[in-house]
Amino acid sequence: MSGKGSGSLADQATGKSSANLSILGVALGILTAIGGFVDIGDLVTNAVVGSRFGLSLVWVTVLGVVGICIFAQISGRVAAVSGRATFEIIRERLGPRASLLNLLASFFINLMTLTAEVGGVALALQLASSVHYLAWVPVAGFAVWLVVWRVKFKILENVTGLLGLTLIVFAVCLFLLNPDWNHLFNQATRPAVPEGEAPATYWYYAVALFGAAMTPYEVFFFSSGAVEEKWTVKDLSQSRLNVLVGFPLGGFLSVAIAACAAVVLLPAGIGVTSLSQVVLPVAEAGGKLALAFVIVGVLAATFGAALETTLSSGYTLSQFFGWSWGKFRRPVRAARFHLVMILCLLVGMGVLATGVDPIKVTEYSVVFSAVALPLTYIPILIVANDPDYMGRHVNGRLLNFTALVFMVIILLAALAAIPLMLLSGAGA
Amino acid sequence: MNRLGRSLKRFAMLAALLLLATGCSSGLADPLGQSAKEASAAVGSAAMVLRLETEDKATDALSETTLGDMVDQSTAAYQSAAELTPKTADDLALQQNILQTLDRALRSLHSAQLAQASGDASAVQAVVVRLQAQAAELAELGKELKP
Repeated sequence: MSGKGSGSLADQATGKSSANLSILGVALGILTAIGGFVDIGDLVTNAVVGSRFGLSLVWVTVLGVVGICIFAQISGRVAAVSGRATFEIIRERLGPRASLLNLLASFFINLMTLTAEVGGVALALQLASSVHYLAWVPVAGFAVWLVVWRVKFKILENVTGLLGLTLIVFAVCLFLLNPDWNHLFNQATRPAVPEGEAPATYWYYAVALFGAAMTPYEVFFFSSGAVEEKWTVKDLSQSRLNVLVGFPLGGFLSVAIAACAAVVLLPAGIGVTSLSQVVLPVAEAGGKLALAFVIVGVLAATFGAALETTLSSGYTLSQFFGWSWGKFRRPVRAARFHLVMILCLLVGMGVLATGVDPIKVTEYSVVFSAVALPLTYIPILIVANDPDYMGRHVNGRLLNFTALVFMVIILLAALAAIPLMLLSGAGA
Repeated sequence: MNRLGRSLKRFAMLAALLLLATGCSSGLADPLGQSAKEASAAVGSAAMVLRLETEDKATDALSETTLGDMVDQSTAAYQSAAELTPKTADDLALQQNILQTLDRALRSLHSAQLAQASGDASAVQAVVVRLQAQAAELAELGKELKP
């Protein structure tokens, strides 16, 4: 090992540049994690919640961010240590029958999320052009396929993640709106069901927000991405940093979206039902320049998530059936993986072509995500505690305790989701 | 708006409040209140985006998209209210009153689309004032029917 004081000048220069590269790599990882955190589910759910409940549901976002940090970190570690992705191990460890339920639930939710994300891309393009979103759906679908087919994994992940950072404009606009900070702080720290809203509706949106923060595809994408990028045990610290710094900062963006809606839309009695309403507070605070930033951000966030969900559909099915998969292989060597992605994109576009409201698809996808969460996260926890796969990198006691506490919350949210949906008339 | 129009509007508002007093306990109050709230949010959003455009804070594309979305939302609210089946005369009167209010809101939204497309600043400003008043009226109705 060439230490700082012992090597030649050349060694020192090489060491310095590799240290710089590593810092750059960590920074890039964190920035893409922040920019890639928000998707159509986070955008819509946070804006709806902010416009109807103010910041009284921020505690759910915090809970969801802690949860996704725990499980993304675990699944990243499983992939780095074993060199295999989540679904491959789940099928092997639990057997084909038990893991089939996991596959069906995850695949269905992923397909629903993919449809919502492609719809989100089309809606963002409508905001920029005023051309109806249905005309943009084929364009969005084709662009997603083209990028998944042609662009390298690292590039597609980094470019969309970095462009998604423009959503920071929500935080900037929150300051420009000059809100009553005490009032916002009180809303956030003393959560209560606001006047005019039913408790069932409040808890329905709590479950939706939790589902939006802990969407299952994020974990599949994260673990499969670790295999795509050939992570090893050496990369564990960087992966931890990406998750533990990037995701909470991404969660901060979610809170900023809710806060902007709480400051501008809630007092005007405007409950969010469309993407065009989500960006109104930004235009109010920052005018056309801020509007341009937010549209780029929404486009990048939804397009990035559309890529991730498309890839996740290929990952889950291919890993379950043992097919050759991955962007690190040429498409001809992973034909079924690419075919699944194309078919899923076509199904998503077909659903959108029926004229179904993409925002409604988004709202239902985050609630059904909450229903499917235990099926996704319980197997990951089982595998992370199996020394046959993890060796000395099995979960520690503290992590297991925290993860188990979260499993209880996840189970409660999953059990409550459908009854709350019926009781509240899907949040009406 | 002329004096006759204002008087008619006041009369309609009074009639609505009287009907509310008798009809709040009926099965229609809740869904009609929901329709009124949804239409209020739509009309309020339309007023906001047009105001932002007059202040040069919103683009044509955003205004056009928002107005289109809000027309769709108000139409859906109108359809939900129209599909309800009243069982009593009071319910019927309440439903018709809400439908008339929603119809006025829809017409205002269509006027807003025309004004926005024409680029006539004074027409847009007049529409903004009307939309703001209608949003407040619908919000009031929504609160009375579905507290």
